[in-house]
Parts: sequence; structure tokens; C-alpha cells
Amino acid sequence: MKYVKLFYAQCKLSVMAATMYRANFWLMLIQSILNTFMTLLSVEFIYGSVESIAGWSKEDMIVLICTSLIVNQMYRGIIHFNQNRFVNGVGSGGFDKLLLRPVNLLFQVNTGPIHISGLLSIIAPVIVLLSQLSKMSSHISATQISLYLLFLINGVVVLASFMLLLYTLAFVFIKVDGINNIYYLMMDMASKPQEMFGKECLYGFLWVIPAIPLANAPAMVLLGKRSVLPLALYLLIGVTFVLLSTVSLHTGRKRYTSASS
Amino acid sequence: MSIIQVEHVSKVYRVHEKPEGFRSAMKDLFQRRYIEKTAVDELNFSVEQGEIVGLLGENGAGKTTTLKMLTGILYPTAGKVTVAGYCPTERKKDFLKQISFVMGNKSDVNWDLPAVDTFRYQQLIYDVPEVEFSENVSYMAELLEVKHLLKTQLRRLSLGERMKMELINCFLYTPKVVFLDEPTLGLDLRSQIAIRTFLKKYRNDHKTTMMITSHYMDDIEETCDRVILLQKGQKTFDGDIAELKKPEMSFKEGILNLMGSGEKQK
Amino acid sequence: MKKYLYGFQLFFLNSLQYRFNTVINLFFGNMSLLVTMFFWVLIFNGDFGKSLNGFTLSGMITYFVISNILSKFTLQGSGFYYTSMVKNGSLGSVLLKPYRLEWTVYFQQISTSITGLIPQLLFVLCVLPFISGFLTWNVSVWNILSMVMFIVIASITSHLLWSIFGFMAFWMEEATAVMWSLAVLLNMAMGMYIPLDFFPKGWLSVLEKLPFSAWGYLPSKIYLGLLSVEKQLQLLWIHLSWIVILLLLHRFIWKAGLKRFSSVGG
Repeated sequence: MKYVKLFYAQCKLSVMAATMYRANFWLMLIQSILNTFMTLLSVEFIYGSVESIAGWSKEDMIVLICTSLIVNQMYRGIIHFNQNRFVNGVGSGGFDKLLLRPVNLLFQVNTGPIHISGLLSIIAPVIVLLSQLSKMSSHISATQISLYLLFLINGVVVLASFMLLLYTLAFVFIKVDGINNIYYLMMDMASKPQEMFGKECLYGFLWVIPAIPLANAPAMVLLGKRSVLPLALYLLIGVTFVLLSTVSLHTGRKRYTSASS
Repeated sequence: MSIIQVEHVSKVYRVHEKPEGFRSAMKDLFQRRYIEKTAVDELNFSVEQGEIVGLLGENGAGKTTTLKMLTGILYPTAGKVTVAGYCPTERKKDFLKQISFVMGNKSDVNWDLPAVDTFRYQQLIYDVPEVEFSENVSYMAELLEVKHLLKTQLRRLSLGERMKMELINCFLYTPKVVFLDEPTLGLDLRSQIAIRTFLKKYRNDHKTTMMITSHYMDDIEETCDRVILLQKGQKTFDGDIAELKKPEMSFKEGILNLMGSGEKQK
Repeated sequence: MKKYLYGFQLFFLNSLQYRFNTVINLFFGNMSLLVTMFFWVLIFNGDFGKSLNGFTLSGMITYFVISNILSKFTLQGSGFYYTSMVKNGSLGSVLLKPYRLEWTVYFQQISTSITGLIPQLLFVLCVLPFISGFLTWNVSVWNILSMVMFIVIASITSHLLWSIFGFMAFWMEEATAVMWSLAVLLNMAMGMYIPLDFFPKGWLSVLEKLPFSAWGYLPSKIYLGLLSVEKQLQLLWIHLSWIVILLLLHRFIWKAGLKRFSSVGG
């Protein structure tokens, strides 16, 4: 309960801080709309020349892309900003402050100030997704929607814990901002149909670079597409990466040298 | 039993030796050289409840490293540290609620918000009851003369005022042991005096144990009961502040004298 | 000239200090190219004989390889450099230095681009044996010369335009949000997401005359031999005129911004 309260307080503080700069607040919203609009415009132009891509119609592709945008922005808005603060903190000594607080370290590393622009960016893809769903509503059951939400959250968990696992390398190499490239790559892959990976590489993109559970899994559930893999496997991947990142964080802490003041 | 106990504590850092020039940088990309740097060497001391101890030494003497080992931020390479009966690196919640670390150059207060909002967040983190929270904020804000600034956005405050807010934030949950690393760094004389007065008064009222590092000798002379001098990671003096206040020389001269004789001993 | 080049060397050395980061950047910073490649294979259904808007599968993949490499010469960083300097006030101290700031920034950004380009080229070389079958090798001396001209133009126009965007910081407290929005728009307009030929009819004739088309789309099309010499020369004049226009605009806005900077005090 304390952690829910802490999270709520952090959200409140971040919104208060962001509203201090009102103009920027609105600009961030415009940026998010533009981002979604440009991505969807590309899809529109591509589907102007082809009927379907590996069995994914334009409507399916919009659901997939919106899902990947939602997962991405949830991670970016709530977690990525704080994980980056943690990485910088390991290099600059700012991590000291986290070690001093009587709060779970994993919670502190993943949460903190909310990146409002990231969260606002969810609005545009959510609206597009909802409008898409309203067109398809006759084919979609409540179970599908509940499962979609479950796998959506699982996608965020997989992404967050996989990235944290990589970011804990900061304890060894100090400067690891290059890892952000893996995040961008993951999101790029997540927005593409899983057929792109081929059967040979499928397991690599589940366990080594887990891009498939992020958006393909929830989108397939929602669209009623037949999954090649058992659905529980995606959840197992989530649990595994949470465990791995926790162990890595606590092991890495022993190597922390705290930059001199 | 002492509230802080340090037994044979050492800290060794492994540092990458960075070469000069383009060619060496390319070579360094494939083959790296490391050197070991001893920051703290076989340190022993203890601190009693309610004592204010000044940790002195030149830059790189190991003061901050020592404080970081005492707060659990750093693991000692060797030796044993006990603070308030706990091993700091275990990060037990009860332990963390009893200590505080004031870093002169690293603020924890949100710059975009009034300080009171950060205090509320701190209250939540440390489970401070509402009555205690209001009493503490009001007591400290009055003592530091910043009551009228509690609702002003932090970035609009002066450095001295911000440091005072940082102090309130760190003392909000009535910690038993407080570590202060250069608490008056870069502050004007008036703010320095206000902070020293605050620390003395707070200790008298709450029997708080404090360890302070500072390059301003006035901070040490006016607030501390005892001084520990570190030189190249080793303790070269540990004694009552009165021992250093002699009629024939000032406190600063006494410290310099000690540093000189410490160098000779080494 | 020497001091600008030395600045370049320092920047480059700094990038080599952290080898883990360098290796990670090498592999993962460029892998999105493969993702794009496989996505287009999926769109074309692996059919090399198929043509979409004048592009075959190998032409399309070559387009993305080339435009990705060339986009490194789009000096977006110039804009963010100015914004951060105005925001944190460091512009004041930079203005005192005895050099022309716009060229220092240009060379600094070019050095960042080249530092970024080296791993990208290395990456392409590493994967070349696997992807060479997907690429079109359509090299002529004229095409290469023409491409180089467009790249030089692109680096200058992008530097000038992004600097102008960066000057917004003189008037706006948070200009970065606007700049990120512009970056998204410009990426689309320079053909980074899809070639401009996929846009509805009529858009292309306008977009190819704007400075952004030279930042990726035009040089890639020239390499593929999809642009006649006559058309290339016609567009070359248009893009050269953009340099003059942007240079004048750059000077004008910079002066106005500086007046504002000195009156507000950064």
C-alpha cells in the first residue's frame, strides 16, 4: 500500500512540476499527436501500394503499431526516464540518494518522476486504437479485451525488466547510454509483425532480445490471430526477466564505487 | 555501546589508467591498464550517542568515502562497520530510517516545486506521522528562518536558502545519526552561521549523533566535540577539540600543525 | 582551421574512452537498418521482380542503406546545442572565446556525425556479405560526385536550419519540445520513413524542392540512378539557393536572439 501511495505522490509531483511550464505541457501533447500521425501516415502510404503484409491487413497493422506505441510510451513515461536517472546516478554518484532511502531499491530504480511527455503520448495511439476497435467491435469479446490488457502490461514489464538488466551493466562499465539503442531497436522490432523474424529466429526474439512479447502478443490476442506459441510463455518471459533484473541490480550494487564529491 | 563502530576498515578502488594522445587511446580500446587506489586504510574509531565529530583531511584523504561506508552506500573492501547496531550495507529499513546523509553538493529537493511538496513526499517515504511532520517542519523552519519561503519554488531561492531546505528535508524524520558532507559548501557567512547554530541547537534538543566533513574550519571549531584527522586514508589524529584550542595558536594553526606532523609520521 | 580540427580530435577521443559503449553503439545503433530491410522484404513478399512506385526490392533496400548513412550528415545536434547553451547560460562564456561560433558548432557537429558514421560504416561492412545480394550496385562517377555535392549542401543547410530552430530558446523557456516535433516532421519530409515517391501525387514536386529532400532522399535516388542529370542540376541550383537564404536568416535571427539574451541575462 505504501508503494501505491508513493507512486501516486510521484505522479502528483511530476504533474505539478510539469504544469509550472504550461506552454511546454501543450507542446508535448502536440508532439505526441504528430508522432502517432506520422507513423500512421507511413502505414497509409505503404498500404496504398499493397493489400496486406504477411497476412496483416491495414487495420491489423494499425492495431499492432498503436499497441507498440502504447507499450513504448507507458515505459517511456513511467520507467525509462527513471532507469536513465539510475544509470546517470551510478556514474555521477546520484545513486547514493536511492541507497539511503528506506524503500525497495527495484521500486526506486524503476519509478520516480513521471515523464509527462511520454505519458501524454499515449493519448493519440489510444484514441486511434479505440476508433479502430469500434469498427471491429462485433468480432471482439470481453475476454479478448481483458487478455489484451494483461499482455499489454506484461509487455511493459518485459521491456522494463529487460532494459534494467542491461542498465545494471553501468555498475561495471559506468557509461552505458549506448544501451538506449537496444531499446530503440526493440521498439522498432515490436511494431513489426512477428512473421518478419522467421521461425528460425523466433526464440531469439523471445528470450535474448524479447521484442515479440511487447506488442505482437497483445495485438494477436485482440485480433484473434492464432499464436504459434502458448500464451502462458509470454507471461513466463515477463517473470523471468523480472527475476534476472532483480538479481543483477543487487549483485551490481556491490561493485558501486560512488563518484567522489 | 558506541552508536558508530569502525573496525579495521579499508576501501580500495580499481581505477582505469587513462592514457594521453590519440594512438594510446586506440590501443586502450583493446588493452586496458588498471591501478589500485587505497582511499581508506585500516581505519578504527567509535562515536558515542549525541557526539558531534568532525572528519578532517585534505581533498582525497578519504573523508567522503568513510561517510559513504558508514551510510551503506559503499561496501568496505575489508573491516567491519556498525551504525546504530546495524551493518549499513544490508540496507535494513529500520536502519535507513535512523540515519540521514546531507550532501552539500547534491540536493534531493525538487527544483520545480515549493520545498513543502518535497517534504510531503519525504514524509511518505519515512512514514512520519502528521503531527510529528508539522511540528518538525515548523520547528526547523523557524530555527533556520525560512518559514516564509516554504511555498516558494525552489529554483527561485538562493543557494543558502536551498541548503536550509535540504537540511529540513534530511532532518524531517528525526534521524538518530546524521552524516554531513560539506554542509556549508559555497554558502555566504550568514548562512554558514545559521546552519552551524541549527546543528548545535538540534543536537542539544534531540541528542542526535553527527559526523561532519568540511573545509571550513569554523564549521568544525564551532560545532564539533571531537576531531578525527585523515591523511591519505589513514587516521593520524583522534581527539577532543579542546586539545587543539591552545592559547599560543589558533584552531586552524593547530590543524595545520597536526597535518604537518602527520605527514612526517607517515 | 587547426583549432577546429583539434576540437574534432578531442571529441573523437572522448568517444573512445568508454569501449563498452563504443561496441554497443557499433552493433545496436545501426541494427534498425536490418529491421527496416526485413520489413520491406516482408512488404515485397520476397519478390525481387516486383516494383512499387518505381522501386524494386533491392532498390528499396539500397535506398534505406544509403539514406540511413547519409542522414548522419543532417546536423540536428546544432539546434539542441544552442538550446542547451541558452538554457543553462553557458552561451555567455562561449561568446567570449575568440572564434566564430557558427563554424565551431558546425565542425563539432560534423565530428559527431563522422564519429557516428564510422561505426555505421563498420556495421554495414560487417553485414555486407549477408546483405549484398539485396543491394543494387549502380555506381557511376557522375552519380558519386553529384551525391557528394548534395551531402555537403545537406550538412550546411541542416546545420543552419537546426541552428535557427535552436535560437527559439532565446524566446521560449522550453524549445526542445518544439524541436522534437519538428524532427519527426522533417524525418518524414526527408524520406527517412518511406521514399517520397510513396506520397500522394503532387506532394513530391513540392517536397523535393525543400531543403530536407537533400538530407536523405535526393542523394539516395541519385545513387540508384533514378534521377536524370538534367533534374539533378535543376535541383542543385535550388538547394544552393537555400544555403544563401538560410545563411541570411541565420544571421538575422542570431542577432535578434543575442539582443534578447543580453537584455534578459540568460
